[in-house]
Amino acid sequence: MEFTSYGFIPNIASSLISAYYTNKVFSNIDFASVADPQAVQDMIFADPSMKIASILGIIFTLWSANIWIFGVKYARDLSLRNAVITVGIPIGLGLLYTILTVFVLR
Amino acid sequence: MIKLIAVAMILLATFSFTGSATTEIRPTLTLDYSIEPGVFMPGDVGTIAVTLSNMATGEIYVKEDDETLDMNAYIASASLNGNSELEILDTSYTDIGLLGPGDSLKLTFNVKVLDNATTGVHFVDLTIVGGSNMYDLNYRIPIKVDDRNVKVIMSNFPSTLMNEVSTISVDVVNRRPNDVTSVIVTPYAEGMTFSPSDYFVGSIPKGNKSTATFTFNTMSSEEGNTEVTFTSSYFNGDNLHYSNTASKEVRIIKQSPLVFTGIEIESSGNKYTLSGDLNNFGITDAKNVMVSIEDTEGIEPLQPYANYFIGTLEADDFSSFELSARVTSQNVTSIPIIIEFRDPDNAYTAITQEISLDTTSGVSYSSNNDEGSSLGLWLGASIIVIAILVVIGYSWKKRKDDENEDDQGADEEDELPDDVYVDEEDDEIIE
Repeated sequence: MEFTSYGFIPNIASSLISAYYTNKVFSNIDFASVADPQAVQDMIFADPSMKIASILGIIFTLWSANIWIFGVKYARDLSLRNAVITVGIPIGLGLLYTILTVFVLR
Repeated sequence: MIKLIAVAMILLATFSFTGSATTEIRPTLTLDYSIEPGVFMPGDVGTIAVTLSNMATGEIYVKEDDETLDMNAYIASASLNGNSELEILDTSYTDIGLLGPGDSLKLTFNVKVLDNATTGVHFVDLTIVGGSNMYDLNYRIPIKVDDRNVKVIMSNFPSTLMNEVSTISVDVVNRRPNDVTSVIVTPYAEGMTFSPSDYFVGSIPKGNKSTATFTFNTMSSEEGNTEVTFTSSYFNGDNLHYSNTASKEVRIIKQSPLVFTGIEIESSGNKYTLSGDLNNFGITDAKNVMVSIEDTEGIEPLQPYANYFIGTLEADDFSSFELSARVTSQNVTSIPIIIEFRDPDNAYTAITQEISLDTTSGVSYSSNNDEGSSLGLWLGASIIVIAILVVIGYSWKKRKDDENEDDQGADEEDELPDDVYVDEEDDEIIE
């Protein structure tokens, strides 16, 4: 549990950096002049800052996963392979979703 | 019988001849004159045409009481004498000759009114010396001199003008007691153009006025006061004269006649759509009006609304428009719009107006496509990524070293090289 908590430390840094890039994205958009939510969404995802924020999010998630792998390994006394599998499945699904939405389906 | 008739006819003819001879037997000379111009100005040269007519009718020679009278008028000479204010350029005709019954003769004299001539009526003396039975004839011909001039009146000339094309008219007043011809009005002002540059009015009857209308282009005039002057040239007879200059101080203000109102700017990323109204604030119609985004550095016009054709924009009227542009530079704070149109004289005019992006959008623009800015973002992100990968790699390496110390019999997982651990994790995710 303690290691799982440590795993969220990178998320703090991730949130701060993502906040900076997201701010850059939103400052370029005049929401008052765009009525269509789909258009707003398109604009957000079309912005390169948003892509950078997503990539950084993925990297920070991997960092967290790294910590969680060892956390689970010692907490449950698992082999490293099993710990990687345990942490990798939910993290992998999350990353897959992010990659698909931000990069592939755009 | 035939002889008798012939004698009777001769007698009849003789009686009738003598009967008519008693009524009119002497030549009667009449005189008429015309002066061009009708009224002189000091310094003018003109002509006095004297017409002599022999008013006698019938035969040239008339018998009266056994006396034969000659009905021809014999004119020995005709001379005209001026005075201190009038100079006769060719004073006399000599040995003119005979003027038969019913004939007339025109004698023309050139007259110059001296510069110092006073206004009023001056007389020249005409002396005709006759021969035969005629007496000499003395006649005074009145010459009018008047120094009143043609005047240009700027009656409805505005005292303030914008940077616009306006139609302005001036009155040309003939104060003289005779007609003037070929009147031409010429305007002049620094930094302004007039169309036409000279206006031909033509003849103006005495005591009348004519109007000269000009199109006045102050589009490129600088702000400030400018003196606008009008002069007119005209002919009094054959003499060219210039009127006094009429001038007026006009204030030019820096204000375009075509102004934008109700501008709305929609931005989607770096694409800007500008819509609003173009108003004709001036006093003349603007024809073939077209608004376009100026293709300058950092601004690219975007189709289909790179330009927008409005057509004729009447005075006191407006029309809506829409334009779109892509802004590719961070330093762009306003978009220049070119307004092209033709003035009432079909002269092409183009003005540029800037629409500010800052005041309307409320946010400072930062370009998405700007290479420098984008590069900075990517560089920052790359540094963070590398730092995290190093941290992950280091933690794995440290872990491996610790495990090697704790347990000499290493697990298979620990044998994996450090730098592929992350990749392996990704592989598993995809699986």
